[in-house]
Amino acid sequence: MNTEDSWTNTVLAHARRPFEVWLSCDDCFDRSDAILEDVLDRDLPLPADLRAHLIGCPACRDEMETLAELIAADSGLDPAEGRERLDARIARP
Amino acid sequence: MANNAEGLLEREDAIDSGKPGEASGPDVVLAAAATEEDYDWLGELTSTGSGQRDAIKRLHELMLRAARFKLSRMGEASRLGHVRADEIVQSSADEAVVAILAKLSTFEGRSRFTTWAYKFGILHTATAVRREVWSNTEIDLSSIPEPTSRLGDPVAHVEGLALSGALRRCIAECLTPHQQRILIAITVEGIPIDVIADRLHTTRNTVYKTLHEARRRLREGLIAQGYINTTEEVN
Repeated sequence: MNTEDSWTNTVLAHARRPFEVWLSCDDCFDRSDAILEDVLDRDLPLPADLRAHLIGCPACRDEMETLAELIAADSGLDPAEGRERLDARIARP
Repeated sequence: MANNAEGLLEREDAIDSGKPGEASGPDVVLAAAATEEDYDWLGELTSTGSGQRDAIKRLHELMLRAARFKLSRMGEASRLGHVRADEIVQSSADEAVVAILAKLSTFEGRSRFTTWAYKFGILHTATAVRREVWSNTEIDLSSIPEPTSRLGDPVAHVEGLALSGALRRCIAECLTPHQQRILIAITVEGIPIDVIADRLHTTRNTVYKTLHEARRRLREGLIAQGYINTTEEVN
């Protein structure tokens, strides 16, 4: 079910997101480095609370994507690869 | 920017010496995955004299790298101009070093030290750029704006009209005026959460909590009316 109304679609998309698991921005920041290395170095999934937070908080997601790019660049990889691996883990549990 | 880094040593409380058992000082024990390099960073930053000064200088260079990297990935930063952008890089790196030194005892070695440190540089730069870009934009957080488009045109489907109406009713009936304003500011108008926090003189956590609660109530309202199902998930 959808509409042509971009305003409606935008708000509706947010209501459909799996945001129920609460995690604060501060807790996301505190845990982001270790969890990101788990994703990039060990291909582990994101914890449910952190994944939900990244889906719901554009600023935290933006900053964690940059961290993924920077870590990838330091490892001699294409920064985009780091970002894509994180985004893939956000897209699927 | 060595001068900036060295200047940090003049702050009496700049270095977090930690408490007994916490992650700083010569006898610190980090997580099993910690490397020799992690111990070196921690040892040098909590030492004294030239070793500490050199470590802070290297940390500042690391933060400059993080700040420049973050700035280069923010499309809105192109509006700042080179001079202002460079000022933000320098000040963000300075602030990140101060924040790191103040929180050294919280580093547990669960990630590489450089990864842990980078996140401070990225956070301070991202926040500074967003704040600067929005600094001349008036944001009215006291009233609730009308939707920019409406489903009144002839091609709109009846089903879509019903959904749109239900959504707006839910927003009006399930959310407080403050929740409505935060939801629309972030989701529709794209105003960064930390910019809203600044304008409201509150914290990012508090604004996110409001957004979280608004979405929860909205979702429950739409589920109750059968417009979305309980297993539906969109990223």
